[in-house]
Amino acid sequence: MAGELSARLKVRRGRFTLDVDLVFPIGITAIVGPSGAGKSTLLGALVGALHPDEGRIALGDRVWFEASSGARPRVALPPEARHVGVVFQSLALFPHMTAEQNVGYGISGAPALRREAARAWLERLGVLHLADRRPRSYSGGEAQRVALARALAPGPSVLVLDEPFSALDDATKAHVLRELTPTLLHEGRVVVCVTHREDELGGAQSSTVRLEGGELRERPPIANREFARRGQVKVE
Amino acid sequence: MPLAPFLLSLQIAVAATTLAALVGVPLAALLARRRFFGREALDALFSVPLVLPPTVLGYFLLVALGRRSLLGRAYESFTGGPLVFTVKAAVLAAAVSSLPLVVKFGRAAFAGVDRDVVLAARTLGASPLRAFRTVELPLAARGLVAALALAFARSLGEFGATLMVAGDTPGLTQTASMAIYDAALAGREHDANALVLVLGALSFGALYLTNRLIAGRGLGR
Repeated sequence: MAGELSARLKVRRGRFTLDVDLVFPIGITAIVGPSGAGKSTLLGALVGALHPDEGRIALGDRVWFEASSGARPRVALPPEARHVGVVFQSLALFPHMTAEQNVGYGISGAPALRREAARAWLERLGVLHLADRRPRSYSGGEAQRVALARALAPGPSVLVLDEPFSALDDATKAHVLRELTPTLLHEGRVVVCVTHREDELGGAQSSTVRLEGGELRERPPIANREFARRGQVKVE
Repeated sequence: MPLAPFLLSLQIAVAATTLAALVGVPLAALLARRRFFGREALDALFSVPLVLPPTVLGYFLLVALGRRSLLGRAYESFTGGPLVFTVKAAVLAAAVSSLPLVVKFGRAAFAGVDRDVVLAARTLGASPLRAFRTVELPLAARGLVAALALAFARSLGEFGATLMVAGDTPGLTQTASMAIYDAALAGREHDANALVLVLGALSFGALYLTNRLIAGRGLGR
């Protein structure tokens, strides 16, 4: 579809610096690392929720973000212009909408067509029975499926999953993953998946990125700022 | 019960609450969502009427809106009459007094909306305005209605600032709280009692509604 996603970026947040240079190929890339390693920061930068201090993010030849150090970004597409599907760790379903309305939110077109498309996605993920119900009544697994349907419905070229299987036990996880992988990878999609453990995706990933850097417990003296620990990355 | 002052108070409270909502709700959203230089100063500036003596607020308004002020003269050249000592001035006084409640409670209402949910809307292609209209506003609605109920109750009882900028002209700018003051001074206890009872009940009702909304039992959700 649109090609690989490249992200070279620096984000300084107080004592923490995330400094990565990554390429996410078509297929599933797992991002693994302890909490505080900068995974959420990286996802925020990809999605457009935060602007890195410098770097460049591009999907194929379409630039999403570009800034040199200390300057205003030359390019900084807002989240709605990036067409990234996101499944948040908290799922972030719209609590005041039914499953059908949640999934239909990102679909464009006439209301009747949107409803139909939303229901088709719900059916595909096995949660059509929730169509007219609001998120409060879903089980953990159901909510995850609705969130995934919502993220996939607009047909994004990049899909970002933040700990998407945290609510599932290992057996269910493997099952869900086998079942969903073809849908996730549909039409050469770039899928970025943050997980706690490398084996969580059961080998469905085509590459793994390990993010380390941890948390700094104390602020380094001003003169020693360059010793501030950085998010390091190993591509395997 | 003297009906005219009571009806005037209701009209003023409705107009003032509307005005406070138009200014206060967008401001509350801005204060809750954006980080910018002077954010807390802006919040403090709009909250100050909450703690100022009403006479000080009234004096400020008198200086700002009076016949010799810039605003007062501009108004007079457009309409041919002064702004001060009219019902419009009373509406402004009540709106300024109740604005802090809209800003404070509105800010809390918007801050209580999960940021990920708003971001989710944006990643699904919603412009900031659409995300605000379809996600933030409905999710903050309960808190906003509570804030407006408080502002309404506050406007309904406004006395000091209103007296200074709108005066106490029976049949023109005499509100319920003015009428109570006059009735009490003149020994018309019946009138005072009736008005006090009705104003008290309305204020209690507004606060009760606020509590119900904040406790999450109102609006059928």
